[in-house]
Amino acid sequence: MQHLSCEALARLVDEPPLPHEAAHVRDCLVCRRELEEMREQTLALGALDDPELPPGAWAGLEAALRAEGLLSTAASATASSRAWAWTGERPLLRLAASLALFLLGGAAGAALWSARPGEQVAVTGTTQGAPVVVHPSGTAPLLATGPADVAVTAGGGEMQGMTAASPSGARLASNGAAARPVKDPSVLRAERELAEAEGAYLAALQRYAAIADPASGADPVTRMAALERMIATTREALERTPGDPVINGYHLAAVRERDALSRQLAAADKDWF
Amino acid sequence: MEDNELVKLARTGDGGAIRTLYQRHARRVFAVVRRMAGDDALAEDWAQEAWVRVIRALPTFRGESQFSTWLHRIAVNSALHGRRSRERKAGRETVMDDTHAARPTGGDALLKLKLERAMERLPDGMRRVLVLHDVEGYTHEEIGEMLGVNPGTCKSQLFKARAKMRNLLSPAPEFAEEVQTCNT
Repeated sequence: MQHLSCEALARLVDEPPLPHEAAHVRDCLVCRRELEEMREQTLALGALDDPELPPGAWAGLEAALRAEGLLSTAASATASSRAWAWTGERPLLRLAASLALFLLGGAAGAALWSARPGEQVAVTGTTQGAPVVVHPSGTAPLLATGPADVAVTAGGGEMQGMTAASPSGARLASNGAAARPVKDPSVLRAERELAEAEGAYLAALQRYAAIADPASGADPVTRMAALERMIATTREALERTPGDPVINGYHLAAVRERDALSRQLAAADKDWF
Repeated sequence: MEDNELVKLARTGDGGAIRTLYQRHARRVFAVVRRMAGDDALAEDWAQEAWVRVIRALPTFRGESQFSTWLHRIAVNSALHGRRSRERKAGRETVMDDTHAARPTGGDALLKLKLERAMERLPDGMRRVLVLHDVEGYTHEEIGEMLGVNPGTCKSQLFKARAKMRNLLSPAPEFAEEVQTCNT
């Protein structure tokens, strides 16, 4: 059978087929599958997120606008604008906040890794001391040390309902400073930077949780291990009952999935990472 | 404050208004320029150039369309202009490959990354049309107008680009064999 060319299939993504093309796609599984995947690819392109701005982009533009005389007043007119910029001021404050989040993140990640499925993990801390990660089941708490003047959570501000299977309830509360009126722009900037770091930390935490839950299938390495176990089990069973159609079916399906995953990982290693 | 009010202030050189407009729209501008450039450093230059053009042209903005639409169009034109300048400097003026044409083409994070990388590997002409049509949603007529080609040429490039992307994104050997069969 003469299949449709890839360019013809690309055209059919958003244009009506000619009569012979319609008939072919109706009868040909290969071309139909290829067309579906081409459509998915096109939809995925339309749903791409915007990339992050490069650091210092505004500073460069501001300089260019000033050089052309297109800016007549200061560009940092509002507190929110000032807080938005990632400037090189107050590096120690930023460093302290980042360090505290890093330590808390590491401890929480370790706790999630070691947590049994369904077990809840709480993360707490105080303005006086280091963040503490505990398993409510009573296992020994993991302690993370950090600078005492920077706290991520405080009395009632804790991550609640965090489990390996459902990280969506993760919430990181800022400490009491958020409730106090703050006038100093450098503090506003630091708060903004802290919030950004919190966002990155929570994203990483969700990733930990996804990896810690084998059922999520989100981690290719975990999935590969599960498939290998399934293949070994079905192979053993087939040695005893080689003609069993059900076990043969499971075995072949698992081998096929494993091979597809291997190719996917190999392609990812080769092309993208 | 609405964009149009900010534009009025920005026309007078109000730095706060310009910066607020930038904060609202900079990522969108950078996204389209970055994808058309296929290169970070180039994209930064083109995005900055786009913004300078926008601020310079603010007095001509009449508010008949949304500011974001107008801005986006200028960003695309800046990217196209930047590319042409680069090609002239390199001493080679490449036009769209119209071999066939003149004669008139959340998800997951890994897939998105692969799509971005695959786009970077497309030839310039194909990438430009694919970005403008499949990512940014311009029509073939609009793209043809921007690129100075007829819509048929634009379509042809788009279909080639999609096929090339498919090729770059489908590593499965047994399916590759089928596709080879498909192309013969």
